[in-house]
Amino acid sequence: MVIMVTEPAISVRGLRVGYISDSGLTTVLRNVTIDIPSNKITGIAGESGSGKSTLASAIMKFINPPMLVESGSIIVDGKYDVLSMDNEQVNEIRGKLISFVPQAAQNSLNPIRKVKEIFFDVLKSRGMDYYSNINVIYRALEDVGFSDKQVLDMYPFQLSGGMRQRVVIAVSLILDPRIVIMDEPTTGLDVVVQHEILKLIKRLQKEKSLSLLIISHDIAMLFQISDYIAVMYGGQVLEYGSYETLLEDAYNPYTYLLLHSVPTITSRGKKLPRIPGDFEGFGRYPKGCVFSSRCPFATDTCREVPPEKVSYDQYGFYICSRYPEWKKEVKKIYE
Amino acid sequence: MSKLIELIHVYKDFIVRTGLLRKEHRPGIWDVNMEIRENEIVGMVGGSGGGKTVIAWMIVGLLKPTKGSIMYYPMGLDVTKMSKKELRRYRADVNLVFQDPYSSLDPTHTVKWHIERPLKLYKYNGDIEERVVELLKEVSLSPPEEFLYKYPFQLSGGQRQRVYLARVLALNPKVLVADEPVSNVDASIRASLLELFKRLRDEKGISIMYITHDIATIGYVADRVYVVKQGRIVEEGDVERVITNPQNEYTKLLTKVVPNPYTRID
Repeated sequence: MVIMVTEPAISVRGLRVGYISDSGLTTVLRNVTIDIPSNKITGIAGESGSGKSTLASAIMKFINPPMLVESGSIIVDGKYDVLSMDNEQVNEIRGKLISFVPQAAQNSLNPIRKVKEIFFDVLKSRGMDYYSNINVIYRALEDVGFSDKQVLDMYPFQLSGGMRQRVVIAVSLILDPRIVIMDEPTTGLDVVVQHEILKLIKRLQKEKSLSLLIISHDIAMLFQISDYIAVMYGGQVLEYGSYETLLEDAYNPYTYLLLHSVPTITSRGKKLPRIPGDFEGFGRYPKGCVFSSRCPFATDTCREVPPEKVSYDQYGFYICSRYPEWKKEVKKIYE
Repeated sequence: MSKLIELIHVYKDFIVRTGLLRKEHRPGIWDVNMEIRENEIVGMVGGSGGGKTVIAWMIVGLLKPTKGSIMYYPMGLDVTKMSKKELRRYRADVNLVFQDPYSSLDPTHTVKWHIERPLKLYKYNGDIEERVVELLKEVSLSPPEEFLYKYPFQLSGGQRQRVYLARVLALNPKVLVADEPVSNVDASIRASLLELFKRLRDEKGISIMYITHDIATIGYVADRVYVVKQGRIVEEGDVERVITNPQNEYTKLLTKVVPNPYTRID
């Protein structure tokens, strides 16, 4: 594989984001530094409370109290420093350059407005007219697999979950953005429909050369479509790299454990590794490595000293002070 | 292996309003024959809207079938014809585990209260406190003392599901009907919950009906499986056989679309 050095679509540097609560500021994202490549699908994998949606909100600058950015910068498309722009300026690029599909968007469509009125609103907010742009809408609908235009005259409740998701994707692409962030695009969908939506996402990404950022807890699904994958835990990116690297030769034990603890159709009779314990929450943040309290390979050093970040190519990096030693002890987790 | 529960030609219609005064009967469940045997994990898999939950609710007696009978052999009775008193006894034996661990516990009460309640309702005559601790240990919430006075919001999804399981296990049930018990739980916790189901089968001899849309977890945990599509059983049999050599088109589709990190979508 030839690695070409290209300008990243999104470049996050030293991002610290917290939430203000009664007990003070709780920092969620800790020093997140990551480059999202252009024209690729990047998956952000993480369990609940790992900070993946917070990262997406920060990139879109959907920052409202109690959310607070402590430090760091986010550069979108090489020139827009999102965090130092004011809201009006960010609104200029939202939808046009970078578009966001929030979690469960398909269930948030206004039930008393027809699909065409949704398009109408989106276009109007950009000062565009619905009727003179009707061909754009038709094309967008075709792109997501609606062959007839009847859907425009339907209400959301008349559509199935998969159709609603297609409408949402069409709306997010209507202004021809180059970067799209999707937060859990397939949750709540039937497995068969989910597969179709994933195929659709992959096809659209290729046809339109989109830079796609997909956030999900479903690690199996992410590995099926992503080119790059970031694994988040406790507000940090523990590992980031191409899916092949993570799949075959993960640097961080959490990636390995997460991937191998997912039952697959062929895992019958095999023993799956278990990740002991639970994430302790942001209130009692560990001194050393964030995963040390649950990591079966952790040593005293892991618990006391935060590991260094090691970069190995333009995008890929990992944090783990026990690599490669933990690989020799991998048998331990199956006992 | 002897049968515990058997569904015999079960039908369920739903009434749909088609006009102001007109109503229409639409078939929901169509001629379902199913059995839960002793000491097994039996899977039920299918897409959304296929009727999996309706079947589960009929088994535990929350819904009455339109036609057909559901036999519960340890009591020798038909669930659909049970009296209130018999149903009460039946529900100590056959319990439902819900999908969403966030809404199956009462947010205003402690873990201890939740587990005590079935014991009190069914007049347990040992030391209740001791039993609660024992149950928490059984579902691997250790140390139990640390969890007794916690509220649901202080627990993670996996822990809540374990608390709910402890509550269900309080009455020494014979059958658990688990409706998507791991779908809302994080991946790292999922494997250990499935492991717990296997342990309940092997150590306590509890039969579990495991309902899910994810055929991969069925392959991991279940012994037999029923594939349900649009209210009908389209395939049934030994899990090994159904997964490696599916006969029905729908089963083939399910095994193809199930998320698998090792197969790419291009």
